[in-house]
Amino acid sequence: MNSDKNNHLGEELILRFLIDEDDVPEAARQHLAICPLCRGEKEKLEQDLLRFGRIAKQYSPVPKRRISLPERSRRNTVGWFWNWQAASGMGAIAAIILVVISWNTLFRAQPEFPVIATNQELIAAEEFMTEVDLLVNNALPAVYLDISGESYLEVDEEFIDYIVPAAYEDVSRYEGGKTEGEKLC
Amino acid sequence: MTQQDQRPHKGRTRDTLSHMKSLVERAGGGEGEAFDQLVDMFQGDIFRMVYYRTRSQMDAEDITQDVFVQAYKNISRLNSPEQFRSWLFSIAVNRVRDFHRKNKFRGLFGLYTEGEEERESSAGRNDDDDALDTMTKKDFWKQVEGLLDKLSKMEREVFMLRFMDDLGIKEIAGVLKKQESTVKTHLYRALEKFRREPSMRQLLREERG
Repeated sequence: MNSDKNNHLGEELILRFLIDEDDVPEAARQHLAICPLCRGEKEKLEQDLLRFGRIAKQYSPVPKRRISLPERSRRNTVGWFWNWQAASGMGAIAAIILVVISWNTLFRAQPEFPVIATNQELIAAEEFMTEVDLLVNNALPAVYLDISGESYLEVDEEFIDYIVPAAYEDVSRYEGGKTEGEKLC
Repeated sequence: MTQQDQRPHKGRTRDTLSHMKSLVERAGGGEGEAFDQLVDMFQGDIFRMVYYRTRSQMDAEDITQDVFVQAYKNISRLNSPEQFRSWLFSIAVNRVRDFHRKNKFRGLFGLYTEGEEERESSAGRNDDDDALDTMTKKDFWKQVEGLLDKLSKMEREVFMLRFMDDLGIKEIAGVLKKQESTVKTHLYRALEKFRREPSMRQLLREERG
């Protein structure tokens, strides 16, 4: 037992009594039960601590403001509304994504339907394409071609080539890295 | 005075505990009135707990408000309704820590908060206090400050939770998330220092006289 010369409880044991009686050895407990001096010492300190707590409480102000909590019903309604909105938004987005994906897979993957055309249709298409080709070559009717002089286009081109030779003909006249004009200089 | 203020200093009866448990369960299920009753039960305790650590009524009211709002938002997640009080105190301890951290940060920039001004001018003062009361209170809190300054951070917290906030060892261990043996060790050291503080004991004797 941790006690002084006269077998009284030491400070350590008295403090341990105040903290937790169950932690104190049985012998110390028995001593405390029969020793008024030790009991008095323990009770004095105990009273001091109780008084300390009581005075602290007494010398504290009282709260003036009431606690205001967020409105539960409003929070719930807003929460529900928010959940509902969020859920429907997410649903709509998911549906759009699903449609786009299925559209692509269904219509892209499927082979194109063979177009069965009749002979008449084929002939008509060929005639139409011939007309288009003619128009691409000469958009103007023959009468207008005569007026504009474009009916003599081939002759004119030869004539122009004679007057103004094409650029590649100049290359053939290049000798030793210098043109004829440069040689003269 | 709130209902909690009239509660006997030591021990909560089994009825009170079971009543609290049922209120917590009802509040967790979304019953606003049950939470209001819990606020009535514990507002005083939490306010004082914060006041002891901030020594400013304004800050104590703000932090108490935050503590209850946080508890209100998370009460459905509390697994053990019987630990509601400890849980509330652990929220408060964290809030007070945040508050001191913020103040320290402000202090770095030389910013003087309204709370600090209030602390300087009115320690524990109530509106109906006369000059003598104010002086006595101021003196008491000065002595408390002197005592608490001699304790380490952990010793101070454990001592305050035990003897000022009236929490049991188990509750303190829950609040601080420490082993009970650790709590007891810190409490022992704090008590040793308390016992050797003549000014505090003198003050308590004067109050008794």
